Amino acid sequence: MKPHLNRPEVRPPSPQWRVSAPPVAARSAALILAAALAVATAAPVLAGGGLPHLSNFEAGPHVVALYNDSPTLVTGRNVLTLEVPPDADPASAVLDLANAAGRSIHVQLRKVSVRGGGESGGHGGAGGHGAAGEASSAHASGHASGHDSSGASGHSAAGSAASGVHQAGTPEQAVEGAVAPKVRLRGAVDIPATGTWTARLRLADSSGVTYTAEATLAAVDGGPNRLYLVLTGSLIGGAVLLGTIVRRLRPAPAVAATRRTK
Amino acid sequence: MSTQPRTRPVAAAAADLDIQQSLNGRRPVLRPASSDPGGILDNRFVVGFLRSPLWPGVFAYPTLVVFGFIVYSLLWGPGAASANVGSGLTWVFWWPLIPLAMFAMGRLWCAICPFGKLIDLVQKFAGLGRPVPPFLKKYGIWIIDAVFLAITWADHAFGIVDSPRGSGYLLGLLVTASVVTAVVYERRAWCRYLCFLGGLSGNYSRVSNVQLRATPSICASCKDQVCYKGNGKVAGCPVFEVPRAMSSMANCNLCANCIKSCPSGSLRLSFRKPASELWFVSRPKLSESFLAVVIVGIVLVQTVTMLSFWEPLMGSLSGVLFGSRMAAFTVVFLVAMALPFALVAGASAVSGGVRDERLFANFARFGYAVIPLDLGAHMAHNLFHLLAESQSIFYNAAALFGIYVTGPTGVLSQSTIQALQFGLLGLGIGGSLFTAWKIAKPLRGPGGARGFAPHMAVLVLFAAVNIYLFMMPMAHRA
Repeated sequence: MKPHLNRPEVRPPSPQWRVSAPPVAARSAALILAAALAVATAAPVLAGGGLPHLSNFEAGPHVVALYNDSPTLVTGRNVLTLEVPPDADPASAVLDLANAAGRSIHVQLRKVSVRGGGESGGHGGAGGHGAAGEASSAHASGHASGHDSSGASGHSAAGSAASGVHQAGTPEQAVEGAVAPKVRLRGAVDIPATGTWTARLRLADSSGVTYTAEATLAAVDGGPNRLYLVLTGSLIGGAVLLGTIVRRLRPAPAVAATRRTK
Repeated sequence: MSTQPRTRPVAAAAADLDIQQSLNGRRPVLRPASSDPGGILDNRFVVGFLRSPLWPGVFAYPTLVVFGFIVYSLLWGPGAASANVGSGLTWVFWWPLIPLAMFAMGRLWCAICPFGKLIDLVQKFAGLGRPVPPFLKKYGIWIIDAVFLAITWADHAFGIVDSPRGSGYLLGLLVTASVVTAVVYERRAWCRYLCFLGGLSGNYSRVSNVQLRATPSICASCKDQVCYKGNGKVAGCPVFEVPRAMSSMANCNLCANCIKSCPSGSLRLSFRKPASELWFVSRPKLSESFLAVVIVGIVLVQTVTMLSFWEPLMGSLSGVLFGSRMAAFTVVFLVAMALPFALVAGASAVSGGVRDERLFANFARFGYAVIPLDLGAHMAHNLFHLLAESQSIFYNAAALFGIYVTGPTGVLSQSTIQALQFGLLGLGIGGSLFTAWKIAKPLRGPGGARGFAPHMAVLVLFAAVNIYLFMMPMAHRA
């Protein structure tokens, strides 16, 4: 329905002409906002893993969590993360993947460094959040959760406790819990084929005893849906091709003008 | 302050024309000297840059390259949003910056948007240049409204933002649609009539701090209109605007084609009071007001889904609706969209009675008053993502090169972010109330702001709900 636009008063057609000088208040507000945005401080908002949980290794008394940067193991590049408990020796950890076809891949693990202090433990001082584990549940419930950056002052703690988005308690709560931080190790691996892969972990504890554990993982195709790619690719390619051909078949402007004259 | 439009005799304007050499020293630049105290184009570096071939390509091409990388990362990169640098760049960095950029610079983003550059490139080789059909001109904004609502619904129903693949599919579909439109129709028909972000930008840009206007005294003697048609070297206005008649920043994307092509230097770019354009919309459109009002609902939905009571609410509703989470969300979504509409319509019914206006005429007029609140709430909501999560982008980008690092994801403390959020929200609320008052108030003569009270009541209610929601703790996205 077209709105009835009768107004009781007549307005000038371009009232914006009245205002052209930069308003001081607006400039000041913009300046303050820009200054606030520019101040980058080390905020007590902490990052954890925030990664999908694939499996747990039970290496003797140690439970080592395995995470990936995708919800499952996928063909192509995967960045795997191990969360090693503090009583194990992270330097001794060796991770290999093998499939039924006899293909074996070694994962080169490196410690994850934490900005803003702390060991490679996952939680940068706010230990004991188990953020990565919560992240997986968040993904499972359809919430991407994001980097399980936990809010300071209980921000995300309240927000995600119910929503499944991973979260953490306040730094104060972490200190009260006094749980030693776990150590994170990360490594990239290229999975060449779908199917079942067995992940083998060797880990020693501080006393030098070595344990071995296995976990079975299913690798699926990575990347986008092929039907989607074909459809969008065809539409884009087809439209551009059609446009190009029609333009070629169309008479040049000079020729068209001549024809019109005749 | 004078209430009359600033006009000057042609002779005086012509006498003021100051012929300068542009930065490249090859082309004379004509501009009105000292005609506009706040004129951004008075700065010779700015005018030189805008008139040079560098603008906007110097930003648009790199943006197109980054966009290509983002799409690749979304479709072929990590499947977890928290580990995908494309997801972070899109939803934690770009999307939150968009409303801020619109407030500061209008639709400047549209000048460097990868879709726009892609359209230009496609049209160079395969564009058929057909005129935009009247249907699209008339109902394009309604299509935008519908698509915007559909995308918001799909985001939660299918998890578009939370899934890199979902985000990639959405971008791929938008690329496909824009390319097909570019092949068939002339200029940037997609940007003007179909892009959902363009619709949002159009509304938000009315609040922006800058305006581009032609000088009527100069344009009065112009017969060529190269600003609209283009000349041999510079294309005409890509969004079908006639600069000499332009009284709104809703469609101008500051591509500067008109500044480049005008031989008389008629165009002026200047600062203005934020939201001042909304006070005197000469031809209010119901479709634009409708979009403004439903955005209230969209921001509410986006905020509510990040709060602690969301999951229990979904659980309870799903139980009633045969265990379907999608059905539960759809119900909440429809209610959230319908409520603001019903409230503003109710206010319009009362206000229209006072002002002797029909309901939808009053709705169309006062709907624009909601835009500052929309923008304020949108910026406040997205500020959380930008300031509390943005460092995750660096961690994920480093992981691409085998550098594994983690740490704080926020750049400011939670309390600082919340203070900024309330600051933005306050500006939006104040802007909306003032806009409604200005719309209601007669321009000249005595008389109060007739029909203001019902709209003020609704705006205060919207403000209260937003304040309450922003006081509650939010969960992180990525």
